[in-house]
Amino acid sequence: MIPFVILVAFLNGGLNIINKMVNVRAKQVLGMANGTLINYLEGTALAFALSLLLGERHLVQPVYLGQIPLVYYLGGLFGLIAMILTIKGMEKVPVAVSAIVVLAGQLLAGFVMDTLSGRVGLRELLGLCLVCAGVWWAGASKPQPEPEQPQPAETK
Amino acid sequence: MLLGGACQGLMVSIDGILADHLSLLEVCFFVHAIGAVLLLLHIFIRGGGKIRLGGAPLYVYFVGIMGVALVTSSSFCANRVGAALTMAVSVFGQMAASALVDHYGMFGVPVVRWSWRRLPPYLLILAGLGLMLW
Repeated sequence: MIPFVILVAFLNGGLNIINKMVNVRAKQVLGMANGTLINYLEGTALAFALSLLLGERHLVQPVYLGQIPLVYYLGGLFGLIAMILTIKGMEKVPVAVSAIVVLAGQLLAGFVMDTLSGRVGLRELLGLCLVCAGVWWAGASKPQPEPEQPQPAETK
Repeated sequence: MLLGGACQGLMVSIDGILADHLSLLEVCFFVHAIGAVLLLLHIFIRGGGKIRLGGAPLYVYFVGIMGVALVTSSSFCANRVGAALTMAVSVFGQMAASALVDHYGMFGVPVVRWSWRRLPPYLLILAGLGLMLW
């Protein structure tokens, strides 16, 4: 089971990058609010339809939903804040730097949340430090983009 | 941007907890529905109520499908192996995808060719992941 979960998390990362690129494009064409809204409206409709199609009925059971602590529903709020801050930041900060900072933030939050739930030990902490060091090293050693080839001047 | 990344990590962690009570698709519904409601409120209060969703390239309209896949998969992983390992592996996936996007100049980004001299940091990350998994 664990190898499958790891593979899913890896593919999640790859899709994350493509999703960010497409979100930036959506924002350029439609504006920040409308570009982001497409993502959320489509996601809402799709998740609702798929869950009903698969026979999951919790969404139409308000009593059951009301028993879940309110704080567990805040993922959507944090996701929205993350998307807006990331898109805004990608406009102002070089891509290499922005990627490193966002990744560091993700790792930090994952570490803090797991520490609070008692899931992180010394080995995990050391592993996370190596991952952070690797992310920083990769960003610091990334070469500059290739300059665009100048178009040859037309001869008359 | 650090805060943006932290919020993304928080979302993954909280969604992983919510997945103890609801199915992954139901978690995904709430993540998107709450975001949609907040955005609609923002548009009506501060944006004059103008909603424009047409006129973008076709591939832009696949963001919702990608969003569902992202939230569902990250909640699935965080619920099983914890947020820290999920984020660490996802970060490696993001770096691999970024290198691919840079190498081919996809989505109009400037081309940065892959060179094997850039491999050691990736190996260091793999070592860190190995340590977390061991």
